[in-house]
Amino acid sequence: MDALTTIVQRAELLKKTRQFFDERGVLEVETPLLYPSFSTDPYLTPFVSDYCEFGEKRQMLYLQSSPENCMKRLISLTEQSIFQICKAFRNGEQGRLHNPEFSLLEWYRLGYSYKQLSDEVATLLNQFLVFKKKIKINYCELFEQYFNLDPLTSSRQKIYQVFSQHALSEPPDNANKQQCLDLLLDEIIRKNYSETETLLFIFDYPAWQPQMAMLHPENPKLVQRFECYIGGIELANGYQELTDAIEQKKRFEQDSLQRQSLGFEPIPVDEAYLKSLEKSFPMCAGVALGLDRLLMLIERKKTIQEIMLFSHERL
Amino acid sequence: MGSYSTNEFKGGLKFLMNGDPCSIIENEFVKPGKGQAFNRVKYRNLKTGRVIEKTFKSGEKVEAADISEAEMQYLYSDGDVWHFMDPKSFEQYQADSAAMDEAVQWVKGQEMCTVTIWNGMPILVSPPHFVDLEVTDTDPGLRGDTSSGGNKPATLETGAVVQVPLFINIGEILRVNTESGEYVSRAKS
Repeated sequence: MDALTTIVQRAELLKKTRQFFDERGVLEVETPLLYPSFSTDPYLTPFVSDYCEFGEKRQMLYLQSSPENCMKRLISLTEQSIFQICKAFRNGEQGRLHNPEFSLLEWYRLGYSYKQLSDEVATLLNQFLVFKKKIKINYCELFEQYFNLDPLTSSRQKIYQVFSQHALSEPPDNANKQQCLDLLLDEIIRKNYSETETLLFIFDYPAWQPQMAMLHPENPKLVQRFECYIGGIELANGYQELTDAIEQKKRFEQDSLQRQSLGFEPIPVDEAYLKSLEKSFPMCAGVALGLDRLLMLIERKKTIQEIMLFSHERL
Repeated sequence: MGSYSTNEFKGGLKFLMNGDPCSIIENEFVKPGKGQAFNRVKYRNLKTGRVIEKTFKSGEKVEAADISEAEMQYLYSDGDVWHFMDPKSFEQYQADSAAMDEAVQWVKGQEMCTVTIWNGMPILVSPPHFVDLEVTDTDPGLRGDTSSGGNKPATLETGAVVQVPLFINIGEILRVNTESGEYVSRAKS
């Protein structure tokens, strides 16, 4: 790998990204990497650290998995559209598309619907890549089209059988319905949408893992969420931000219970974030985009290690 | 014998699946839908030879297999069984036709082969990448016919049949690529 080329390409990517938001009046912000709370997602593992004074541990702090909470606190305070380019950390995640420390571009647009925001994601990506096909499709439509399956109402057994019916990689026999659907979606994308010239947006995910997204007012079984895929790579995840503090608190509690049942360490609830939702929170949509993966696509590389000079296994 | 966790998975790792010895070909860390992470693994069942794709939950464990590979010298065959000797220990091993598989057509004697051993039994034999074998039967080559194009079948001393250029004659020693089964060149005698 030519180190200088990679550095130059990344610098160019950052420069063009800042220019893009500057032209649109979106403010750049910086929020803490160390924070006393962490995502409640049961499947994320944090890097944990301690704030010490004179050798004594005073406070447990987590390296952020995403700047979401702090950025939304800023929105509650300032009511401005903002963006950030920062590092995010996910312990234990390493692979062709994963490095435990990675770069995120995250931004929030006041007054935008999540669909409008997805259009802006496409506009940004057009600065860097050329697309021959642009596809927008709903999550449920994908399953209908490729497996003749309704992911919301089909039984776990029916979903499990799809793997053998279509000669797909055999799933773990204790995979639950959600996990089977996650694997099937991965198969749909890697088998049918793997060209780098294809820009794919999937909308309206099932509400089982709502994260911090708003439910669909017409159909609460779905969330107002989208994901963006290019070349079979998941590049961005965005949604209509949940503004209901009570609903958010309920979700935090459900996640905590799930973490406990899976045997993971409990995470202190982000009370400061809940307070900011209680005060007031404007209607907005937000999205997180993997900058390293975008660089992979720009440089036509197949692994994240090829565009990271200090990837984890090289440290 | 112990176990491996998915984070130890890599190409060539030998493990047991339903009692059969298997070897990992490819391993991909996959984290779809922001939920449970998985390892999608392509592996070869060394007993049946079949290649299988299976997805494991990240963190799952598999049983390690008591499998090792050794360079052994091929001695001879008595039709049912092929005899090998480990040059370090002078121990002899017998491989059956399932373990020999394609290797039967490339070995004539004395070659060093890579033998995969499971529980003390050879289950897979890989011949050397290139072997030099004599042509025992082929249509006569026209003298001077070194022009491009045109191949003909030639039978080698082991019984293997390969496509060779038209100028090759009976009695010539050829170098063959055992992985592709293709003629490479005349061997330097």
